[in-house]
Amino acid sequence: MMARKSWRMEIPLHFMIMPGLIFILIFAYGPMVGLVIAFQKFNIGKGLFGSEWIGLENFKYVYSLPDTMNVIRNTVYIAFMKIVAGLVAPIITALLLNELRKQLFKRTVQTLIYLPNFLSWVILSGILIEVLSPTTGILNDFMAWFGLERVFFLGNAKWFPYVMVTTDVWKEFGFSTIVYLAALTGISPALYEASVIDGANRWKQTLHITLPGMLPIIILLTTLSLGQVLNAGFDQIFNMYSPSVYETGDIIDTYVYRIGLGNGQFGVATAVGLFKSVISLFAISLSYILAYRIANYRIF
Amino acid sequence: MARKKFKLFSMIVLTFALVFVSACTGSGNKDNTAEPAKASSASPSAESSKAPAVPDGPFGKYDPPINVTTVRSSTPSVEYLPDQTLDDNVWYREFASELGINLKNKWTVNTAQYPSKITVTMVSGDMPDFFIVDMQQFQTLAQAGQLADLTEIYDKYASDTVKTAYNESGGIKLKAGTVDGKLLGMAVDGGSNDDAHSLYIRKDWMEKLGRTAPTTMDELMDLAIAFANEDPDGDGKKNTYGLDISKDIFGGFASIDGFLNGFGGYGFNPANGSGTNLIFLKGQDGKAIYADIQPEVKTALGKLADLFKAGAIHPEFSVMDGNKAGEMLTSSKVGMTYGAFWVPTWPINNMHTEDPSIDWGVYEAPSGTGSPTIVQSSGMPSRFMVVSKNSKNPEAMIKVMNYATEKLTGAQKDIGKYHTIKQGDKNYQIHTLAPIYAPSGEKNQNYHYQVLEALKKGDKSGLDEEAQLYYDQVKAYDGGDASQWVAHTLWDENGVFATLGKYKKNNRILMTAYTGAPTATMVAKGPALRDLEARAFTEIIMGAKPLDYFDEFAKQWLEQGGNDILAEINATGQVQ
Amino acid sequence: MVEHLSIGRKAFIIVNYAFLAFLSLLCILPMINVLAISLSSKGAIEGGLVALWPVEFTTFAYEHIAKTKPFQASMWISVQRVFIGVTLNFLLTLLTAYPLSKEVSQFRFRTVYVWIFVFTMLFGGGLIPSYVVVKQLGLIDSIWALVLPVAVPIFNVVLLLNFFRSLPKELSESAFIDGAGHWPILWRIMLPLSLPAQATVTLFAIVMHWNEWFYGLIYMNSPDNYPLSSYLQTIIIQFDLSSISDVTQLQLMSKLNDRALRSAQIFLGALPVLVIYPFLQRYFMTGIVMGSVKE
Repeated sequence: MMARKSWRMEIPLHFMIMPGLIFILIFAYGPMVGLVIAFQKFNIGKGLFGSEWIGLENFKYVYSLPDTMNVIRNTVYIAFMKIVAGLVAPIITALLLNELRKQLFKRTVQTLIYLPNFLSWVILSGILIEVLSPTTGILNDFMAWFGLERVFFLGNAKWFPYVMVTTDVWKEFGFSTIVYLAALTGISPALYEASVIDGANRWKQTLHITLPGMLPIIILLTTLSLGQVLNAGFDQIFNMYSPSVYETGDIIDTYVYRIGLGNGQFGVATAVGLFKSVISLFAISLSYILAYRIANYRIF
Repeated sequence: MARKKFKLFSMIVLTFALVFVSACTGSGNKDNTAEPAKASSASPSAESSKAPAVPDGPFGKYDPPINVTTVRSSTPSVEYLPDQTLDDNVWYREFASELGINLKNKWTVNTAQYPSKITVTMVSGDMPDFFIVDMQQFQTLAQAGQLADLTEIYDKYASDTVKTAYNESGGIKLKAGTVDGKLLGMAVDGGSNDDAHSLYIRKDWMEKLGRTAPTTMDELMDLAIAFANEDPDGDGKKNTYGLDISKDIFGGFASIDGFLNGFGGYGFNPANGSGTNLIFLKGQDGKAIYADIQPEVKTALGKLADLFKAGAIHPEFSVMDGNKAGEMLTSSKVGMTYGAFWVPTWPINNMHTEDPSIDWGVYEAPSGTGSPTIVQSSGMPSRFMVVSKNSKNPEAMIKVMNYATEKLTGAQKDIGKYHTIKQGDKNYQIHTLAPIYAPSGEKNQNYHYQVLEALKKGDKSGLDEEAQLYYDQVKAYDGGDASQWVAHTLWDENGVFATLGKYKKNNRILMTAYTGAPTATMVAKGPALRDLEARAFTEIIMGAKPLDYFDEFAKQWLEQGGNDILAEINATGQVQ
Repeated sequence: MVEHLSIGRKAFIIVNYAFLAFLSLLCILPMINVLAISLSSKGAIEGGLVALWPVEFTTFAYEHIAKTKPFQASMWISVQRVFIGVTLNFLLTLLTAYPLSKEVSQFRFRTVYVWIFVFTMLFGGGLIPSYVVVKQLGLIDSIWALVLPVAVPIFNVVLLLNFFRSLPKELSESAFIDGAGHWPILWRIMLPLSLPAQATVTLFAIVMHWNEWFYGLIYMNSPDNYPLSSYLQTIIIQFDLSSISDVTQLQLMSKLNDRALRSAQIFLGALPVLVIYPFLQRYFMTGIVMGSVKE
């Protein structure tokens, strides 16, 4: 009796999900059939169903390229740093913004920090080359003023990855800050009021109320960004790298592009994409399962 | 209160309704514009029942008319007359009326996205009858067997004017478009040697420092160092450099091609290039060798490293792309660059007009070997017009090309109608609306001679209309009009084409010894070898690696695929 | 209520304001530079003279963009796209996130569903298969090609479902007891209470639909159908220095300063957000709801 009633209660939920599901099936799962190209020696004339099946040959080919290991290493390193920095910066900013009382100032800052998001890397690369120039750039002038040695940020393989991470965080942190600010609004003021009575200061409140209140969203965004662990940012790196920094700055996507895999060897390009997807799936599943097993918490 | 809410609600609903309806009818309308073209074509049944006989000759007219499709990429800055668009213009109208060919564009897109669009079109099986592709797509389609064999069609239907144009420069355009002995693509560019490097120098800087144009490489190096150290812009700061180089290292400007040539070295491998457009030389034994690993290149790189150490090359050149390198010139930070014929049109075109005290001179590439420099030139096409295997009338493309070529360069040419229409102060480039034509590679060079002749005589009659335009511009500059500096620098007696003319007349142009299609290893290992070379050259110039590292690089190049490439090239028998 | 602030707190407040002001400056300076370039003359830009203020002020870049007929047409298409696309996103995000925010006890297949959706965030067929699907559905050259394939933004869905979960369960439970079904609960309780989250995902949807340009170029065969962002992309000229052969082509290219146009393009891309964002910010206010629930 109870089972039947609860089943009936679920029907509206299924109906609600139906439209989204249909869209997904058509526009996301439909094209996924094309992933089979990764296992084919794709011939345009013969198309999807006529091209020769070659199993893992494409993957083996990529593996055998001289720089593949290095490129994967660079990608993971840069992407990982971006994930961490891309986590810390918006959270801190959201917390700081939360402390502001003057609404006008707060709203202005909120708007302004979102602006870099709109600049394309094409334009930004031009600006950054100037700002970071060892001979004429502001940053190096500033450093020299303090007696520090000048650094060729964009041309030095040691510095390049860090420059990429920093500039990327600067460009994107506004986006996540918005999300965290919205999360902050969901924390009950009653909790703060109660803690004041208990004698907590602002710092203790932050530690024991604010951060825990943001925790679900933090975990969510972190997990989702783990899915980007092999996407270190093609647009950005492509516009700012050069042969001098290939060693540390070359990532999977730029390497694939340079090797010309985009426009000619469809099978290989698809294989690389598939490989990246599988790793992302693995990373996200791992987080999901860990959260569920350890804390009985479903991230999504 | 409820009334207000209702009003707001209904306004929102109306707005949405408006937007949705317009979207639906909007898309419907777009379909409708496609209809008229279809309706006016000949009824399909007549075609499919019996294949109409292909009319004879280069200009034979199809009766009944046939439908042919193509696709176009548009250069965004080009403005068109109101009644002439990419879809409907004097060309398309006359193809229909004179040749019986109803040409329709399946789609148009901007140049940057054209490769992606071609790719999806190729794969979704919706190929137009004829279209343009780049070298890589050409190879892909050729290997997939998707292209029509044009060998016989070209022989039978191409007009004489077209054949002359394609036979230029030893027929390199035809050779590049030939795969496995079959002509599969008609090259749309190439066949010209105008990309050979001249040396561009800031004349005003030279004068300020009391120096003259260099004729030897040693003098060049002195001058470059002087530009860096002796404050030619007079602002009291050490902020100028001698030689412009971009991170690509090789290319049309801010590159080292001409510098290498000065030492008898040759090479071409832009860091952002395909890695398959390389220069090979004929070795002592008649076999091909790779130009970039020869000892002369090592000598030249050593000199460049010296320049870098002396501060004559910008320390950050390794991160500067073409645009940035151009800015170095236009912001008067660098005083010299090697470059192809087009440098005066970009990037330095405006400098003299904005500030008449600034002047650039054009000079032959100096020599460090004692004999006049032999400069390198590519001449290799990079784009091809191909015909789909499924096209019902593959020869239609040739006829279109014949017609357009005649009207633009042949005996019946009419520049005022087909090339450029001047209205007010705007020049409408009608010739860009044509899908394809075969210009002579030496067109510009010939114009230069024509203009010179006319200047001597003081009479421009008998000149091509385009040449007349250039004549007028040069005369205006000589008369004091600073805004025609570009024309003066291109066409006048000490300009770019004068310099190029000297190279050409004295046979001082070198082209790659191998003119065939990229070999299998070139395609597979080319990009990796390109990266190897880009890194090695950059590091040697910047002093990060000693000059002797060059030998190690040469060894690595051969081992990591170079030997295979050379073997394949020699096997093709296309080494000359 | 007047708080008695400690010195430490006062110092913190001052430093906070200063730091955030500095951060904002860091973020806005490049945009100001971009704006200045878009309003400067070609010669000044090429000479490297433009920093934060236009040099030789000219509206040439904007004129060049706005004068052309395609600009107005594509602007209208973009407006349509944002309207339709964001509406679709809004509805579908809501409808999909709500069921997924329920516990397994209330909605047995939720985890299966959620993974079906999340999977598509990670795996995709790529440009070519997507194009084939769109083509087979006959959507090429239609505005629907730009809004239907992206109708369900999974990231937004997952974000929203988390927000729904953070709302107190007592609200919906008491509504259930009162006899309300899922539909009324969704519209009358969940929707109004999650306005900050709604505002967030709506903002993201607007930005995406206004600025996305690649698919506009690929899915439209005729430039008449381009949205504004795609059209703007076409007026940016990419120099390919290794294969230029036609003098006249170069002469044309050199007339326009690429950088000024690019800058104007960026600015036009950011403009609607700058205009809309302040209005949306009302919804980011604190603690609108929680007071209604007695813990």
